[in-house]
This record gives sequence, C-alpha cells and structure tokens, in this order.
Amino acid sequence: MKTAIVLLLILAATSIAGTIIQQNQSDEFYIKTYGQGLYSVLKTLSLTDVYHSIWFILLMGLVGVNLAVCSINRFGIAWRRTFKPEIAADPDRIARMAVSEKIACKDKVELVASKIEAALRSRGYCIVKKNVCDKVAIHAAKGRLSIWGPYLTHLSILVIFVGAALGGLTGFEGYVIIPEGKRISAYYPNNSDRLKNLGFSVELVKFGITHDQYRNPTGYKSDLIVYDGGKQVARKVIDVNHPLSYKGVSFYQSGYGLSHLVLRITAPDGRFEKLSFAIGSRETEHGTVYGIIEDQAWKMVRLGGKKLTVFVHDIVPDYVSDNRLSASMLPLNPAANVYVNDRFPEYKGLDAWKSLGWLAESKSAKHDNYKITAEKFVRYTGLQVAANPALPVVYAGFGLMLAGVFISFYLNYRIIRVVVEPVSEGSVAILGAQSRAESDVFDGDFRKIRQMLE
Amino acid sequence: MTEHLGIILFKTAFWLYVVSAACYIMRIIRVQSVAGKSATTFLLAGIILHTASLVWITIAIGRLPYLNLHEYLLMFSWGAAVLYAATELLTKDRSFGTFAMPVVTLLALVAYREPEIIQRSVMPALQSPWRVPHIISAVLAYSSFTIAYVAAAMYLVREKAESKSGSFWASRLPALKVLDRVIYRAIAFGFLMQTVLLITGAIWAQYAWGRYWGWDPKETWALITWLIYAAYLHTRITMGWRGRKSAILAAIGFVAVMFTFFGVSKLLSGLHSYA
Repeated sequence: MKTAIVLLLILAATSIAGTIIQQNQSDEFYIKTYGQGLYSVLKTLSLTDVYHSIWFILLMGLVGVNLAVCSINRFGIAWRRTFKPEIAADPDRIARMAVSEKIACKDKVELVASKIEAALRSRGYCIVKKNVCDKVAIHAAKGRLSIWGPYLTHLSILVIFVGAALGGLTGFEGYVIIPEGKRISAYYPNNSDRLKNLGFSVELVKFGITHDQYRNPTGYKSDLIVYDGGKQVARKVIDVNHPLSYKGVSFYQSGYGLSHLVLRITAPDGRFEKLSFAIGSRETEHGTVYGIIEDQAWKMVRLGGKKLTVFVHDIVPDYVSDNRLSASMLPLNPAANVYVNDRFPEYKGLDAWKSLGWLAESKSAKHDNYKITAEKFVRYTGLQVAANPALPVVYAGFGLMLAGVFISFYLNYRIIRVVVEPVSEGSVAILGAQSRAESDVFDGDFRKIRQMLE
Repeated sequence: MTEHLGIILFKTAFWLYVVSAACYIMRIIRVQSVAGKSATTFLLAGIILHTASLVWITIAIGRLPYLNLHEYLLMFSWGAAVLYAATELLTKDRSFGTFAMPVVTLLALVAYREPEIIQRSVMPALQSPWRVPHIISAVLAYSSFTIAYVAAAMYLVREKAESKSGSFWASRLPALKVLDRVIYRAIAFGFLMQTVLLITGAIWAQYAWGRYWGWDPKETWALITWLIYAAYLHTRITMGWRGRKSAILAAIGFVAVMFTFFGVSKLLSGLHSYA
C-alpha cells in the first residue's frame, strides 16, 4: 500500500516537472532558456519530453503492476467479506471496533439476539447469526457492493493503461495538408518526415471559415470527399469537434491557410493565361501573416504579342478598402497587391512597374487593355489524422472508473458485529460497528437496537 | 435581452454574502443565536439571487458563463455557497460559516472585480456537447474541494487551540470529529466530480483533437489534483489516517486545485489558455 502511495506521488511530481519545463521545443529554445549545461542535463534525463520517456513509461508500468498485484492480493479478502463473512464472538475484539456499545438486558440471550436481529433487519442489514457455546454472535452488513468499488476503480485504471498501450501499438497519429481541389492518399506521421499510405484518398472540395458580426471565427469547415477504389465512398463537411471517420481513420479539423493565388491574364483578343503564386505564412503575436514566397513573387507571361511581368507585392487576409486594409487576421476576403511591367527585364527602372491596386477574389484591373483577374485564392486545410482501434477499451475503462468511484463512495459499506452473552441477571449485548472511512453513521442503527431492547 | 440584470442580481447576492459572512463572524465573537439565524437567512437569500443571476445570464448570452475568470467565478462562487449551505444543513452546525463564508465572499469578490461578460462568439474548439457536463463537474469538484479545505483549516486551528487551555477557538469551531467527517465527505464528492471532469475532458479532446489525453498542462494538473486526493483517500481508507495528517493532505490537495485553476492559465502555456 505504501509503495502504491509513493508511486502515486512520484507520478504526480514527475508530471509537475513536465508542465513546468516546456515540452518538445527546439534545441535553440532550451539553450536560450536554460543554457547549454543545464540543457544537456535535461536532455539526458528526457525532461524535455517527460511523458514519452522510457522512465516515465516504466513508472506507469510499475503503477500498473502495483495495482494488479494489490488487486489480486486483496481479491480473496473482498470475496470472503462479501460472501463468507467471518463471525466474531470475542467481546474484546468487538469492543475495539470504531464504534462500540454495551447494553445490559433482562431477557435471555436468545430473545435479545433475535430482537437485535429484527432491529438490524429493519435497518436494511444482511445478517448471519451463529451460536458459539452459550453466546450468540451476529454479523450484519450493508452496502456490500461497495467492497467492490475500489476494485472496479483499480481495474478501470488497468483497462485504461491497456487501452493506451494497445492504442500506441496499433494506432497512429499524423497530419495532412490538402489544398482545395487536391486529393491526398498519404499522411505524415507525427515525429517523422516519411509519408505513409492511407489506403484510400481524401479530397478537399472547399475550406471556409464562418464568423460572427465581430469577425470572430465560429467554425472552420472543410468539405471532404473520401475515395476508395476510385469511387466516392463518403462526403462530410467537418468542423472542430466534428471529425470524419472512414475505415477506422479519423480526420480532425486542425489548421488552415492560403495555399496559392491564381491570377488570370486576359489579352485584348480574349486569349488568356493563368499564373499561380505560392503563398507562405508566418506566425506573429497578432496572428498569421501571409505573403508571397519571395523568389516566386514575379512571373512573366507572353500573350497577344506582348511580354508582361506580373509581381504580387503583398497579401492581406481580410481586405476592406485601400484605407483600412484588413478587417481581421482571418483569411475571409484575401486580396493581393499586384504590379505589372511590360518593359522588364530589359529596362530595370522602378518607374516601369504599374500598380493595379488591391485585387480581392474575382476582382480585375486593366493594364493596356489586358485584364488581370485575381481568379482564386486557393485555401488549404490542415487535418489531424488519427486511428485508435483501442479507443473502445479506453472508453470502457472510463465507464468502469465512474461506476467504481461512485460505488466506492456512495454505497457505504457498514458492518455491525454483536455478541450476546449470558450474565447472572439476563444477558449483555456488546455491539461494535465499523464503516469505511467514517465512524459516526451508526447512531440511527444503535438507537433502533436500544428501542427494541427496552 | 442583455445579461445586465443578471449582473445586478449577482452584485446584490454578493452584498448579501458580505452581510452573511459578517453575521457568521459576529456570531462567534459573541455567541448569539440571532446573528446565527440572520447569517443563514442572508446566505439563503444570496443563493436565491445568485441562482437567478446565473439562469438569467445563461439565457441572455446563450451559454454557461465560463469563457474568462470573471464568468467562471460567477459559477465557482455559487457552487461554494451552495455546498456550504448544504454542509450547514447536514451538520446543523453554523460555526463552519465563520471560515467558509469569508471564502465564498472572497471568490464572489474576485468575480465582482474582474472585467465583465465576454460578448464574442464561442470559438469552434469549445462548441461541443461535452462542454456542459465538463464545466458543471468542474464547478462542483472545485467547490467541494474548497469546502474540504476550509474544514481542514478549521480542523488544524481547533486542534491547535485545544492543546492550549482557554483558547478562543477551542469552543467556537465544530468538533474535530465532525470536521474530519466533513473533509472526507467533501473530498469523496469532489473526487467523483473530478473523475467526471477528467473523463468528459478526455472524450471532448478525442473529438476535438483526435486524442483523449495530450499531457496539456491543464489536463496534467487536473490529473495531479486527482492523484493527491487519491492519496488522501487511500491513506484514510487503507492506512487509517485520520485527523491532523489527513487534514494536512487535504490542504495540499487544495493547493493543487488552486494551481490548476489560477496558476496554469496565468503561468503555463497550453490549450486551455483561451480568453
């Protein structure tokens, strides 16, 4: 028992370490925070990834073994207590129980015993009576199911541990990024750069953010189609808290962003060409900031006898007007600041670049009868991919745990032991009572017995 | 409909708690039954207004108030007031109020002084049916741990007072046996609620992030709290700890509760840092 409590406290202490030291950060982060020397100590002790370190898992394993051993050891005791209660006839022992009382009566032993029995029965106790020499011993118990409460609780922890271990062995966790209109059939497992096949493919039809009047997000919605064997087998608009599951693999809405911008250049004769600009992003303290990846910011197109160079200078996520560029940090109405140049690269002067202003989605601007349209800002969705075949085991453990804890504390196990001895004038009844963790719950029971005996 | 009336109701309830706490304190300085009766009356009136305020606010904003510290303390202080009233009812002993009501009032005061209700929409991660049982179990768990803590503090004060003759506190606090039992009952209930809290949180996390447990600081601290109270229950039930040692462990558990509640949000970074 002491081992168990010590283990619990060590587990608590090491968990605290894991919450104080930020976990799974980069080497630079730790060196900056703790210095090189301390960092190598932390690293050696795996304190930068406590919960996945060998020793933490070993500690959990020890807790599991301890639980199992304790439960097995005490199984026999619980079994006997429930079904074969030991009947004590030793008055001294009964007098030593948490609550005890001695009542002298004028009646004979047998009569007193049966009165006490009736009193206890009326209070809902289950009774075993035995004659020992000239004495009568009574064992009364109530709430015996509660003996099994701690077992259920301990068992539930083992079930959860087994479920977690099975989940770790058979399941996986990873990540995918799907731009609108694209289909993926593999994901990146966490902590790995090598793609793994899903066995089917998932397409993002559209990603959208819903929001309230203050432009606070209320939903991140990815319209997904699952294809298996070339056929569409499922379609669902997922949102945070509403994942899509197919063949045991679930997709959780987790991230989003702008993938690329498609500009359409239309010549006066109606011929057109599309240019694609990859969009990058950077996290700042105010939110995500978007921009065109620098070395791909300009592209050249030959169309209708003319050579045009298009330069995307800047991107804002939620365009309002030229005065107040962006209403929020959410990519609700992205716009690009576009320049064109028909003398590049022969003439290098900056004055050759003509501004087209901000182009929001499907908006156009003219340059020498050429039309430049921001045809589409293609969004991408970031999905957490996870499979956990052992999840039902873990949930069963949760259910058992709730039942176990409830039974432990709300079905109170109580025993009352009585021995009635003959004395020169009538008899004397020695009562002893005990309950798990509490001792003053017997007032009513004892009062009833006294009433019966009067 | 705005939540304004709800706030006024809460503020009125707060002042009733203040008066009630004052009566509880007066009651022990000069043991008078009038002060005791009015203390309970003011407390009950406060609880009625506080309940009305929570119902009004919940209807007005279309959700339970839980998005920031102010909102959450509206519920936390309510839970503490209700559980204290239940303790007084069950033990028929008003002297708990001497320590408990100032604590309830203090919790309500923090809610009173913090900035008000958040008007913006609930972020997508919080939109889940598991939210309601998660929040309610948190309120109940934390309030009953608060009651356990108050009883533990009273236990330690009275125990010390009893060792000196003629001490002020010796006769003015509930009997040690009663306090010991209240600590146990409050922790047993709190432990059950903490279990519900952890499980609903795990299932919710599974739906939101695809994993039921991620060692996020808030979840880890909730687990640490659970482990400490598990140690309390084990030492009590299987090792027969009672009284002083048990009360100290109960108090340590409450430190973990407070850190989970205030410390994690303010000091550590993680997924629960919403507001």
